[in-house]
Parts: sequence; C-alpha cells; structure tokens
Amino acid sequence: MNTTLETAGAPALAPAARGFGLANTLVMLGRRELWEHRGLWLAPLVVAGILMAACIAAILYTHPDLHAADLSWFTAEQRAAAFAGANWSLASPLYLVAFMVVFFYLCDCLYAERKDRSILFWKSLPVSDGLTVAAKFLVAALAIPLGVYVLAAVTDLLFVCFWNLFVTLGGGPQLRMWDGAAWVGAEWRQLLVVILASLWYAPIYAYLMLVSAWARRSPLLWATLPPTIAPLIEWLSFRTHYLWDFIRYRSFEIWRILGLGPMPGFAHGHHRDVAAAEFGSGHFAAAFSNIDLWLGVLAAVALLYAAARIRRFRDDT
Amino acid sequence: MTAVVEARGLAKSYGATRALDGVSFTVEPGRIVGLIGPNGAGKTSALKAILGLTSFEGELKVLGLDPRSQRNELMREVCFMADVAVLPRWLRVAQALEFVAGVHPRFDRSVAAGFLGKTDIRMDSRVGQLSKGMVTQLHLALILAIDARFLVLDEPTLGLDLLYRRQFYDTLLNDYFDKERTILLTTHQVEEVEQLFTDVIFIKHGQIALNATVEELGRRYVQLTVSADAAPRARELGPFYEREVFGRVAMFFEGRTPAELAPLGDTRTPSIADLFVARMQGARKV
Repeated sequence: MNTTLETAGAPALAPAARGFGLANTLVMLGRRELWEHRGLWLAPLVVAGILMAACIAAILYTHPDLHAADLSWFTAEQRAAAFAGANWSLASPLYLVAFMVVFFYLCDCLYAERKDRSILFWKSLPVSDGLTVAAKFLVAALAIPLGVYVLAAVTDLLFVCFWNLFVTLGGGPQLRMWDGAAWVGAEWRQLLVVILASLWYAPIYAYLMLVSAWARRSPLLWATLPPTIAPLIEWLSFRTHYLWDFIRYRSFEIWRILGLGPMPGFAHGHHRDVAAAEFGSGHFAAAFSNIDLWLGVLAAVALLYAAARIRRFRDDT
Repeated sequence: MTAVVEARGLAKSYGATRALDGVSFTVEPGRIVGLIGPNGAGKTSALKAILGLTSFEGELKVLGLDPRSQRNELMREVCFMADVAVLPRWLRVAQALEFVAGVHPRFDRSVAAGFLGKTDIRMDSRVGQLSKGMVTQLHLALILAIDARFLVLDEPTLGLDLLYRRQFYDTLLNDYFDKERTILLTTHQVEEVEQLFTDVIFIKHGQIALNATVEELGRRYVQLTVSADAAPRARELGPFYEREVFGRVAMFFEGRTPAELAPLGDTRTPSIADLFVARMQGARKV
C-alpha cells in the first residue's frame, strides 16, 4: 500500500464533469436489484425452460396420436382459439411465478438492506431515498412484468416453431399452426393485460414496500397477517365483511371488468373467458378508464412516498 | 473558504438520554479531526447528524448545506464509512465498482481498480467470501476513488488486526489526504492514530470536553514525570491528573510552561491518549 500522491489527485478531477442522467441512475439502481435478487429473473427463466422441455417431451411422446389425428374439421376460428390457448397456457405459468417472486421481492427489498446494515453504504452515495424506492418499485411493476412478457413471447415462438417443424417433418401438415396477424393481436392484448395488472396491483405492491421499509422484523408476516386477520376480526365482531370484500375487490375486480373470470388462467372453467380476452372481446377501454384503477395508482404513489420518508428518516442502524 | 462543519447548540435525545447536549464546534477545511470519546458519549450521534442520518436540534451546516433538507446535494461532496461490515455480502467486487461508477459523478473507477490491484482481492469475489480486512480494503478503495471534499469515518478499523489498521491509515494519509480535503474520524484506538490528527475534539456525556488543534495541545498541556519523593512538591503546582508509571508519577498540567516544570523532573507534551484518559476521568488519582 505504498503509493504515490499523484494517483490520488489528478484523475479524480475528470469524472466530476460526467453527466449523470436520471434514467442512467435508475437503470443502474434496477440492475443492482437484479444482482441482489437473482430469483427475480432466474425463476421465470427456469420455469420457461421446464415448460419448453415438457412441451417437447409431450409432442415427442404423443406423436403417433398426432399423426393419426384428423383435425381438418376444425374451423378457422377454432384453430385460432387453439393457437391463442397454447399462447396463454405457456404464458400464464410464467406470470404466476413472476408474481410470486415479485411478492417476496417487495417484502424484502427495503428490509434486507437494513438487516445486513448495507443501507449505510447505499446511503453514503448520492442517490435519494425517493429514487431508490422508485427504482425498486419499477423493477417489480415494470421491468419484471415486461421481461416476463418478452420471455413468454419467445417461449411461445419457440414452441410454435418446434411444433410446426415436427408436424411438417412428421407428415401432419394440416396441424400446422401459424397465423401472424392473430399472434400479433394476441401479444398486443397480452401486453395490455400485463400493463393493466401492474397498474391495478400498484397499491398492493406499494403497500408491501411500505411494510418492508417499516417492519422491524418479519416483513412477510406483517405484509400477510393483517389482511388475513383483520377481516376475520371484523366478521367475528360485527358479522360484516366489508374488509374482505375490499380485499377481494382489489384483488380481482379488474379482471371482472375486463370480462375475464375471477382468476384468469388459474381456475378451471375460465379458459374460454381468457380466450375471449385474447381475441379482443376484453373490455380494455372499460378497464383502463376505470376510476378505481387510477385512484389505486394515486394510493400507490402516496404509499411509496411514505416508504421513502421512512427510509429517509428512520434511525435504528 | 467556509467551514466544513459548523455546529451550534447541536442536541439529540433518545428518550430521556441526552446523547448530544448542546454541542458547538467547527471543522475547518484541510484538517484531520479526531472525534474521541468513550462509548455512548455521543460521537456516533454527532456523525449521524452531520451525515443527515438522524434528526437533531440546533444549527448544523455541513459544507454550507443543511444535512436534513439538503442531504442529496451533500452526499455528492461528502463520503462516509460507517464501519467495516456494511458492504452487502451478495455484492461482487466488480459489481461494487460498476455500481458506484454508475451513480456517483465523482467516482473514478480506475483509481479504485488501482487500489484493489495492490491487494489480494479478486474482481469476481463476493463480499461474503472476503475476510473482514479485505472488505475494509474494498470499501476504502471505493471511498478513496471518490473525489469528495469531506470524508467521515466512524470506527473504520474496528475489529481489524494491526496489519490492516496500519495499512488503512497509511493509505488514508499518503494516497488520499491533501489540503483540499477534510477528514473527521472517530476511533477507540487513539494511540495508533494520534500522529494522524491535526485537531482533536473530546466528547463526554454529550458535551465537548476539549476542542483544540494538536499545536495548541502542545502549548496548553505539559506532562511532568517525577520520582515518588518529588511528587508532593510537584503536586503543589496543581496538576489536573496524575498516574503512576513504574514507580514514578506522571502529572498533567494545564497552563504551565515546560521551563517552569523542568527542574522537578522530565517534561514532554502529553500524548492524546493520556490527555483523553485524564480528561475523561477528571478527578485526581493517587
């Protein structure tokens, strides 16, 4: 560690002139989150890999039946429905796992840095608490959903390619499946659904971040127990269920407005509704112009502001 | 040039405890100031107030900025290291450099890489795999590559062995410090760093017990070492503290000249560590 003085002075002057845009800083903060919480991108990738492997295995395994199958009686509409169904079936497990890792991420993202005391390092850098909180929120509500959206599209394309390759080589050309316009349409609607989900769930995401910033320990319990126990207490005390109705409303109402079943893609019997949305009968205009959607976004902004204030002024490290 | 820190009546309470009880002091640019006090004296509270990490009462300006309302601007000019264990375990060394380079306009990655090149730290290691000494080296490399005007270090070498501690302070003094920069440092191991300081502030029960430059200390305080039989005569001159050293008595005087005391025994400028103990214990010890 015997260095000379000239290493310290001279080169340090240059970087002060560098321009540091807000967007660059946000991207850096976002990448930091992906370094720390690798599950955010690893889990959807692994699930996509497993899905592809399972699809390929299933196609290979069932190929004698496929050769024998005569699907010529399928109408064009039914073909399109099958096409979109395959699209959604591949995508929904990815969104489900992304939603789960995002949930755990949000509970952890403002708690882990306090737990390992690294918050003092992060706070020694010229990054405001508001920007830090915003970056974490945008990772959960924007980067991961859009990333998974792209991943789902790629998975679907790979699946369609493999399927078409197989049926062409295997001699069942009437099973070839591709409809460019339908695909673009389905992807467009899926993108709208992803954006709608992020907007509708924004207050829940922000609530989880607030708990993460506030909880002294067990943010996961603080995030889940009150919404579970409070409705129970309400019912036991007053025999009413306003809280429960509210939670249910905030969880699923947007999908009802959109014209889907209460749990798109998860529950049995709603695939037709999902397909309906995929094919354009979803009421996107009604969903995006819903006043509660935008009130929820406002609530999310307020909750995020509170989380940033807590991070800024809390003093227990 | 304005003062780096200007505190007037700085106060902070935790419940009934007054961690800082109306403290006033100034840190001038280009100084290395030791903030020294026993545990719970209010050192960390003072540093946290300066860094905008805690609320406080009173007036406080750091580089002319209010650390409460202008913390973001302040962090462009100020760098701090809270203690050795604050780099997250999952972070890779290369990621640490990339991140700081990505968010800090005054960070020079090549300087940090240069420091790391002199250590055994590998770029692809995670912080969790490094020894405590190496984590400190990494943190130091990050901080020294930031062209900050004011560096605040709170017990930076706590829990490190002597080798790393020595290296740390050598690097700080030789590679970093210049007259443009100011360092505020707290430590328990006063003996090791006292030659580093240009100023010392002793803090006790949330109040300032002593605030002086090292040159002033030499003018104000004299240590006289006398044999046991000469002790009573020396005692008449009013030492504020004394202690026995190998059968002789070391006495500490304020406001006496060495010339005045020399006939009684050996005189010297007391060490900061001795002055600290003397100031903290206060009463005479026989």
